[in-house]
Amino acid sequence: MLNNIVFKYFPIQSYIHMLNPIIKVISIFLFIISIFISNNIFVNLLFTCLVLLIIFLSNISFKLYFKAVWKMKYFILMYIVISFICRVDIREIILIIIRFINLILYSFILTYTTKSSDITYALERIFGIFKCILPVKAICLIITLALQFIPILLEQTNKIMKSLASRGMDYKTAKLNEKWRILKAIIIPMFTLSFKRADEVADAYEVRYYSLKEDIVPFRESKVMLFDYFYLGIHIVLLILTIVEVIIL
Amino acid sequence: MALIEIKDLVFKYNDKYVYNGLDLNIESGSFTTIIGRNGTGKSTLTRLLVGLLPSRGSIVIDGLEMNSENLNTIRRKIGIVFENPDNQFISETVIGDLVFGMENLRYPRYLQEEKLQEIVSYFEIEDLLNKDPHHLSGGEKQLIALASVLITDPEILILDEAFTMIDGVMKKRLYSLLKKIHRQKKITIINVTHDIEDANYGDDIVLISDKRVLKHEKKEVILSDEKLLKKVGFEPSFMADLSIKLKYYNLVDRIIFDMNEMVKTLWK
Amino acid sequence: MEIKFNHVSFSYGSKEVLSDIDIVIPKSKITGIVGKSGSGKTTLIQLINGLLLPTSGSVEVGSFVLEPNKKINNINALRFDVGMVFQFPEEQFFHTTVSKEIGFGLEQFNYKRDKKDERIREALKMVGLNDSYLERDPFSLSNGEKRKIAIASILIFNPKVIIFDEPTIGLDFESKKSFIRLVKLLKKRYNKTIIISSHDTDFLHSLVDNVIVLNKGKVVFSGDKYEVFKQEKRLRKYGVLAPKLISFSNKVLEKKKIKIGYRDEINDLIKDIYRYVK
Repeated sequence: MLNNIVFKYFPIQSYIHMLNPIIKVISIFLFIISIFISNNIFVNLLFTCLVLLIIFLSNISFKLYFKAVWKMKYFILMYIVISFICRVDIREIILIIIRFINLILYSFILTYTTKSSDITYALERIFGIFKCILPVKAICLIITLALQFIPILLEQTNKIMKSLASRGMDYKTAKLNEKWRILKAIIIPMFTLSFKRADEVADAYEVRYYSLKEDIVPFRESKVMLFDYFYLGIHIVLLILTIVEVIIL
Repeated sequence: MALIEIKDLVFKYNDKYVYNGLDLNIESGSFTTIIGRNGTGKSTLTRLLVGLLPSRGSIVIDGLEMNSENLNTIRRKIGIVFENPDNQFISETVIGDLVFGMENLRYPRYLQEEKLQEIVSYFEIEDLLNKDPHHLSGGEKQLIALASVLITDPEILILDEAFTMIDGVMKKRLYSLLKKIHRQKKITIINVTHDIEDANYGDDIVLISDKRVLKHEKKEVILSDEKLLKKVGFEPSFMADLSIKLKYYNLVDRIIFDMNEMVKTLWK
Repeated sequence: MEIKFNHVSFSYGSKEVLSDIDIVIPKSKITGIVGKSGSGKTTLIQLINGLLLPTSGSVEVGSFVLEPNKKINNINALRFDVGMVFQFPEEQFFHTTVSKEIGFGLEQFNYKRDKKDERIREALKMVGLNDSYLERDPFSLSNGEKRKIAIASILIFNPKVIIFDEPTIGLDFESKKSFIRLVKLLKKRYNKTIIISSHDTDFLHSLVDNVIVLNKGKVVFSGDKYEVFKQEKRLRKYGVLAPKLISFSNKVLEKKKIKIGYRDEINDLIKDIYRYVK
């Protein structure tokens, strides 16, 4: 469920799909820094234009992106209500809403056009510099496993709930206090099965020569094309402009 | 010297002895089926062979004693496929899984490309390459698991109940592939299973019972020994059983595993 | 209890998993459902105890009628009559002792709770285990023992229909034999309707009365056990192997044009072979 809505990857062709994942991840960092530095509404609207342009280049319909933002409407509404109560300046509220929408849209651009394994790969390469201080490979392993096993664990939960239902405890038709009992009941099999699974997965990694310390020779080729430089360049320019804007204004 | 020499293996789990002095030799190039009832510790044995569990006693693989120094070298020689296909996948794509071992072993990229091409055409899996391994059928999953493990050219292939969850027709196909691999790549295969029908595909059988190896012989010998099999809680496989009973009526004179051959022999 | 599927289809989102299933599962018989993985076996059986509702058509289970989007008020009454034993025992263990596990169904369905301890012992005995198992942790048992506990947990509330989903995976020879004995007993002595979904046709051949063959969500053919299993080539097309006993008779027929008959037991086959070779 969660996987399909938020992190869905669309396996199609587009300029954005073809970008090197490392470039994309660096770009999103630059973008995030830019939008949080800037305090100017118009500059943020400029960012929105960039986002819309990238969406256009991603060959995925605008409707899908906005549907995803629409799902976040309660957050936005909640923010507006609280800010109003706290007497926050209206300009400030608008700024933050635009920032929020920019951020959400750009995040979806990343997840819709990049496989999660590519994102993790990029993160591993980028943060590889910090290898001495942080356990980079371990963190990326956790991310990969989490993403990979979320649907599997959801399916496991579903199966367990079905067997509970067959023994007279159906979550769908149960009263509220029964629902609570059911959730308690599934803990035992979930834990047992998940630990067993974790054991087996760890064994599989180990016998296929995985090491948390060693570096690998990646199969994928990290090509950087002209369009990658151009894309990154735009983000760097934007960041510089933002810094200039903050200094001047 | 045998490829794998196990002497006096002792292993305890939860204060109970799984093995209390197990001896076993596996010759290089053999295709051995290890059979035993559930609970006889077969999966423990496979894990001991790849050093996933610590043991007492001696395990020597290709002249190397199993210890922390030799562990990586020994593992390099072994490929193992486990029972549950879902817990062996590393990547979102089949390609990712196939190259995982080579990436970890730091094969240069050109060699990775080469080996990938080789295994893909040998296994005929071009059309599966970009799929998500989790969306494949059980049999296809194990096929990919097998390919991912063989791509790094291990000398020994261990199958730990690998085809238990696979359905009939696909299982047959996988075993044919396995036999072809054994013949052509001269690899040593150890197939651990609780299903006596699987023993038809190998050459030798190791019977595990009562915390040790009860017998280690050619399959024809063990599959025709009804008394022995019954003692261990098994029955001869279908063709072996048929052969034994027909032999009693003097209609055949040996164990015949192939149905076509059996029919030909009966009605000359 | 008879089970009828009336032009049932089931879709998962936009994907059609079962289409136009129109079959009858006769009561007090043992029915086998075969098909390769992905053919829809599990979906089919989950439509029988209301875990899933059809997207079109209706499923009649005794006096219950399961239709699309229709809420059933007393779904537990259906599940009390139709017990299901799932493929993996670990997915249906919720307690730390065997006695609590087996007694669970009794508690839930509020059935003969006053005789609980007695019935737990009876259920254990039926699956061939003794009282020493009562305080043990179900997760610590061997595969065969786990399956037996799972079965006992369902037998305890005496359902009229029992569904087994792939009951023999991982079971060794002795355990398979005792399972076969148990199921035959359930049918003969207790008149239960048994449904077994499995891809192990040799196992089914020793047990079932009739067979339903699924492929890609459709029932491709069904009928009496021998009628279905003898069509080896057709079954193979659908990814199903014919039982070896049948396959051998077919081979003799094919190669030597001699009809030696289809048998359930190897000893009967031997007698036939002897007769026809001499």
